[in-house]
Amino acid sequence: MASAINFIFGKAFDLLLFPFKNMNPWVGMIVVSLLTALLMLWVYKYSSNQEGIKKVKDKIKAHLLELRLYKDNFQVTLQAQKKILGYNAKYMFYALKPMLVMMIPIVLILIQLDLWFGCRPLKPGESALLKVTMEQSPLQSDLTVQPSPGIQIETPALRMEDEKEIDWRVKGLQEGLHALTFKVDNQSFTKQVVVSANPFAKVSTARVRNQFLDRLIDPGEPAIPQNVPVTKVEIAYAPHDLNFFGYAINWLIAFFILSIIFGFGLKGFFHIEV
Amino acid sequence: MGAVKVKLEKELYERVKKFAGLAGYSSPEEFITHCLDKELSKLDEAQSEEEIKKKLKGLGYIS
Amino acid sequence: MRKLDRREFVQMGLAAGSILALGNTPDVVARVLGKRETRNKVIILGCDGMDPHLTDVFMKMGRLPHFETLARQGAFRPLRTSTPPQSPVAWSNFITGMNPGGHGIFDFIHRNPENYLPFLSTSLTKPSTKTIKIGDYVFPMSGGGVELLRKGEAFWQILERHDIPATLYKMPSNYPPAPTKQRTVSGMGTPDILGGYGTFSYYTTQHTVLMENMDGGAVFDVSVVRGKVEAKLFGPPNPFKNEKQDTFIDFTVFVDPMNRVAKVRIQDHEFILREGEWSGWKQIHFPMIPTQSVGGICKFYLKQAHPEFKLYVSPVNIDPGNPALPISTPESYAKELNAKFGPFYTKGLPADTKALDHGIFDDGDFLTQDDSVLEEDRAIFDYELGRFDSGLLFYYFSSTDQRQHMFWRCIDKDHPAYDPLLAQKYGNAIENIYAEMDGFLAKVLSKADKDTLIIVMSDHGFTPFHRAFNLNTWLKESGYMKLISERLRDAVYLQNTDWSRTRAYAIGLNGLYVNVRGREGRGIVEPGVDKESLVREIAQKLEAVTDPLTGQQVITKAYVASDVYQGLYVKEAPDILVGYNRGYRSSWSTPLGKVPMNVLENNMEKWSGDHCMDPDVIPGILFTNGKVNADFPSLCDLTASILQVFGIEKPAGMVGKNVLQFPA
Repeated sequence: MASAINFIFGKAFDLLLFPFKNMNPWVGMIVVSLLTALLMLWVYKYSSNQEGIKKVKDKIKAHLLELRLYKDNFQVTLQAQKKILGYNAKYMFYALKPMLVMMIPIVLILIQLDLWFGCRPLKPGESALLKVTMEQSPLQSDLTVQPSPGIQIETPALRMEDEKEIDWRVKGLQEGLHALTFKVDNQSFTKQVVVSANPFAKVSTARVRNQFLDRLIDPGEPAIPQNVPVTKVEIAYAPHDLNFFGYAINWLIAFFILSIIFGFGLKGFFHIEV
Repeated sequence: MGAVKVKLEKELYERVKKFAGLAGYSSPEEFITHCLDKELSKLDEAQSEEEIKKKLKGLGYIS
Repeated sequence: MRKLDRREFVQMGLAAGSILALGNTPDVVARVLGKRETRNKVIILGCDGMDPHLTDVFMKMGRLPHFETLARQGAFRPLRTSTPPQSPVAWSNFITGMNPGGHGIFDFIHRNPENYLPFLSTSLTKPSTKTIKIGDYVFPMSGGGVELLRKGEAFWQILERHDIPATLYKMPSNYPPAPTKQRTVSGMGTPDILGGYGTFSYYTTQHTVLMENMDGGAVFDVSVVRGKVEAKLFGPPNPFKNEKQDTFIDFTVFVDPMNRVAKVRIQDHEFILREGEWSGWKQIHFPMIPTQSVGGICKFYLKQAHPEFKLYVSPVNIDPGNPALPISTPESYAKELNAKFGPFYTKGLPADTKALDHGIFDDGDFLTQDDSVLEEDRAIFDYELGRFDSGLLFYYFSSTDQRQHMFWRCIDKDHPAYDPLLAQKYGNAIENIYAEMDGFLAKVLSKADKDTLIIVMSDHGFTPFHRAFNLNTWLKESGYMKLISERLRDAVYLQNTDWSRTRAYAIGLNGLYVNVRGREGRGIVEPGVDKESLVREIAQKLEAVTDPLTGQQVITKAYVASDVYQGLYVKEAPDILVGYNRGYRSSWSTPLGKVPMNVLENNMEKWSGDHCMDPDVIPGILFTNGKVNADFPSLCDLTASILQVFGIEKPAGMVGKNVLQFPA
């Protein structure tokens, strides 16, 4: 199930962002935010009570007007305020359903976006932590790792008994999509490592076992084979912020702000009550 | 400003009362407050000595 | 910004509203506006402690080709240093063009005459005066602050008034930086986050080296339990807490049971070090109260993983990207450098001489660490030199001074701490750092056009430090000082002194004070004639002291302050400035007011070269492409000369004279 979702969403975003790969990351971000805004407006239109929302908003407007007109009449203003509060609550209630419906696609979009915008690849010459989480204490394990040309393992293994973890430090030498090959219990599997001077690229930080939630959250690579005693392999890539006139902005914030702007900008065009 | 009560031995209090009057304090409370204040400022000074020690630490020319 | 864990960000996605609360880091770009282009330009390399004699020797060996070129084209002179020849004093002379009587810095260490307590001379940290208490917490209501104690106008402030731009990188005796729109980063005198000259932390399972709270460092006894070390890194006291407890950060180190490798996990950082490896700078913050913390930067060095665990953590430096205390003008300049080059050493004198002295570092460790200082110096130097096109650029190097202090024992067979094996290995450490300076000079030579005046200077030279003189012990034996108890001679800050019978005392590296009635808290010598004649008497006796071991004169000149100083602050000076002969210096314990048994003792420390001597025996260097109209120019003369290059007459009070002529 998770595999299927990942496959569809993954391919969709690969196709969508591929043309913008070598451009400023803002271009891809703007396109995705715009498309998300359109999708959300569409979802909102069909999942919400448009009639009801319009009515409630009109009521609120009317009572606001009442407030201004009868501002000297204490009785009336008090009533109006009460009404406004009431309709506000109703408005919130109407908004709840579309919010719930939207949440699922939004989370899936965020997970895909994080692959592209969350981290940057290793720069040539840069090092990062490689963490392998195992089913049991790694002290008796025969797990080894072999880098492909273009990357280098810089340290001996660091085995942590209680954490069930083995760490190494891995260094990117040449640009490209490289692989680490792990051998354990006569089986082997790989983990990809991206080395690039361009900070905008699809980077899968972790490869995980086939557990629904884990796979959903880390969809960048196929699941680790079930019979291997390893649950997760992770590279601690550096986080990547978007540069906004010298200010570092987390991509998540940029995404929410942009999609809200697009959403509100376009709602009139599609005659959608929000 | 709030005030709190402190218990003193009766004998000590009598002596305080006697000397407070002799030293020209308006009340035993004033006398006690003054004495404590004086002692505490000495401690403050000791604390600043600690600070000095810390600041001089690490200067290569001294040990 | 910390990378979000996937799960965390899904949670955040569900709570979109809270996301806007995430902070961003502004990448502020500093611009110094409104400065005019100058035709005449000045580039100054300030190489702390570079010695004319050694420079000459290394030039003759062919190690300093660019110094040779400069000497041939322009001039090479010994440069008269300050009295006393200590860096904060000497650089203050250069900064103000005045002697200590004018700028008020007489020593690394001054004393409060009221209570005889010593303090660092160049800056004062004032705690907040008004506070309110809520429960366990104390909230400062009025700001404390740091104050620069050096008096007088800095020459770049004068340049600013004439609209001449200047950039000064790590000028000593300028913390907190004097207010100006010029670009300056403070140098020597800038504290670490604890407020001192630097305190390292050392975590080890080796119980034999346990010396908690050694000078300049703290040693922590740790144990490795199931491959894990749990430890604390201590920060400044928490000003918000009633008891002023020290702040701290818990951290964990994971050690492999066999392999010589460890992983440090501290706050947002997680990194692996092999044995013998250094980490890069790590930004950390000491939490105080919710919403308030103090940030700093530090480096980790895994000295050993097995069989004993040894981890060194550098003194926590002020973070130039987010300075907790003022270290630059404009405030954004340090941030600009940080954004370009990443964090860099901000603590004055960054080389950890104390770690070497205490055996936490071996000589190789020390050189590796000081090399990293030099590497940062080089990157920022290339940047500043590259963009320099107008006015003045001053660039400071501490490594010349620090390496001569620590490696003199490797070039001097007569030194009590000389070791032939070490000499073989590290005998070229000093020569190499001089050659490094030649490399910097090469870049300046290729950058400079015909309108650029080049100056390479040092604040003082260097001599061996063989024998240590206990000035307070000498005062006691000569009857000028009386102790309360013979058994408490190790008491610091002169606390064992019987002030009612003491006429003179020493504090600081060259300072000697008379216990004057009305000036000192418990003074007994009448000011005026009594004091004057006592000063002359002591000075005369000091100059007569000879070393029974060598027969040498220990003090070549005892300078009387009123004879050698001019200016508003002469009255704050020590009464006598003791000028030691080559090979002699104030002992390790005299500066803080101890009174050991022997007047003279061998200096067995690794700190084996020094300069706190008689200024006459320890001049600095002056190299320039201009002409020098004096045989023995002084630091103050350079200041007046720089102003002259830009057509500015020296202000009243400046004692230096113009001695430089622009290259023809």
